[in-house]
Amino acid sequence: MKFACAYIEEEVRDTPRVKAILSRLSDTPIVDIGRYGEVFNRNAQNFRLQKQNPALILAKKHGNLVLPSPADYGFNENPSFYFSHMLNCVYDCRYCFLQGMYRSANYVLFTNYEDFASEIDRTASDKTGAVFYSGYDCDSLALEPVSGFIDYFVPWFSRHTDTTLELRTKSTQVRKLQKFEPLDNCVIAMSFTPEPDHRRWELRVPAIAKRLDALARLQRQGWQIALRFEPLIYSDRFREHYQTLFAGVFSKLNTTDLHSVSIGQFRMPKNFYSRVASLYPDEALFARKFQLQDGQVVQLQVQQEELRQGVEELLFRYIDKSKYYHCG
Amino acid sequence: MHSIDRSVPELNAGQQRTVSRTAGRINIVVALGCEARPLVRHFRLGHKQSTAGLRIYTGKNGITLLVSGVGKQATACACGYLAGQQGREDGNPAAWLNIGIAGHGNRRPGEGVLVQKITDQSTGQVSYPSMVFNPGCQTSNLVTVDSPETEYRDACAYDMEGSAFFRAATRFITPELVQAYKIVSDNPDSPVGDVTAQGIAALIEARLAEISLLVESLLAASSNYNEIYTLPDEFRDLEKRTRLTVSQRTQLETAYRRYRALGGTDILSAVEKHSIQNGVDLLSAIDRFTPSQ
Repeated sequence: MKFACAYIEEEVRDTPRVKAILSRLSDTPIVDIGRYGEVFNRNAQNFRLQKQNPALILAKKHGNLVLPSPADYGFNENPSFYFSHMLNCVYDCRYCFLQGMYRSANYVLFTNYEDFASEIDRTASDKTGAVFYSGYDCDSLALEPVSGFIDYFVPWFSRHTDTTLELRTKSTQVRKLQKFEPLDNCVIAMSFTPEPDHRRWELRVPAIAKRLDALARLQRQGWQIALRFEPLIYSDRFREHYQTLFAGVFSKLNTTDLHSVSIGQFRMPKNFYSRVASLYPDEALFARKFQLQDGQVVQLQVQQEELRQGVEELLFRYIDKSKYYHCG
Repeated sequence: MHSIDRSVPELNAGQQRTVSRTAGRINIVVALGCEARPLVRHFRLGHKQSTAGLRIYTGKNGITLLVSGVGKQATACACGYLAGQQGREDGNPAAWLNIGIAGHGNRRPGEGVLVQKITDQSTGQVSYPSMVFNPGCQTSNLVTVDSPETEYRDACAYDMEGSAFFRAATRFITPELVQAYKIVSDNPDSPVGDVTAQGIAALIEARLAEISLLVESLLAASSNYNEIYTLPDEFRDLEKRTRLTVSQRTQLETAYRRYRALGGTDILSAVEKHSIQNGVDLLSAIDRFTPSQ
């Protein structure tokens, strides 16, 4: 993977993990920085322009390493949390809220995995069956050849079986996972949208067929697989599109063995939406009529209802309702 | 040392182009006349004006060259002057590129570097130019000093304008379109006192291939930026159709962008068929012709 340059916080520069990462980036210009915010949080940056050639920032995360998940995010009622070893995603999905959340499109990789693990351990210590989500502010697997995230966290969770890890991803980088014995307390959750939406809005995301192949390989090996159909974006032909998607997905995977299946509507906090819409004044998605609901920009109520009803009806032809939940 | 083994691009295509609202534009800023001369010749620029010690050259290829004078204050003032003048002329934003000689702690005279980090030695302020394109050359940190550097303490470049240039130019355009390129003129083994005007011109001349690539990359990035964010001439014609309040002008911009984003292609012809008496008529006509999602 190529980066415009690599910014390295002084504090992590001499750590073994950073040295290992730098050894894989031999042609990349290296720039020393104090704290990642000097580069990442500067005012007046243009996310869209930076996205054409992002830089990698290697940093240490101080504080807020593990946070409570947003309401209705999870697949069960257990206490749930998320942690982000990375900010930003290698993919370029037009509907993604990260474009509005961050000023910079550069990738921040927090390399102090041990601190994340300690905080997960501390958070889980007084709770039963806590679930930890990775992939909220990034894609969990897409930068794996550089990050070594799986190499650290899969063995760690194999020793902490009273907690569950969900890795949310659109990546086909599953070779590392395949080297490990499947864990009962680790769920690989892959997001999908129908082919026309994928082609239109999911730039740089691997093809649906390739992602399904990767998931099928993991499932055959015994990994727990979950499906996340989101974001649902209204179109006149959404039934036809989801029918085709579901037919393809459920012919490749064993539905009985699926861990869970969810759907989630397109939504974005109002301030994020305003920022994204001004970054992409030429994008048809943001020229649509939306409505504001509890501080979130959402699709029109009638569209939301039609989508939910239509997609659920199609979905239940393939899966048992006990595996299903509606996200957010 | 990285060098580019190919003939110097002449930007012939650019010179044929007329500068539309969305075409790429670049402002090149140099401190010295001897730095400017090879660039004026290479990019076929013509003298436009001299004001208060500033000299401005322009070409039909979207390139403007500004000779600012030496030092931070001169550079910041010159950038402000040029940006103000261009804003009054057409408001079409330009990328900015600072080109100049620099001392360096460990590079040899003649090497060219794109700046990746700028530290102002007197204030300690640090800036990080973004690299939104492949620079095609080496990169280096830069320290901007108040007087010529003779000790070269660190393995970086030393100049007298870079920090002020970056801070000034980024007031007028997104920082991704502001870059600085330095050519090493002196180092611990080759002192700054030996540098002559003729030698400086020769150093620039020898790096024209690399400079041309940078200029082309920034012109392309600026064009891309203007295509996205600058309203085309069609919008100017549209707003002339009737008298608009400030609020209606803002609404018109939103409505026009929405019309275009949803695939509308010729709003002027569509609006032509309707009697437009005021801003409300115009806005409602655009809404009527906007394709559905």
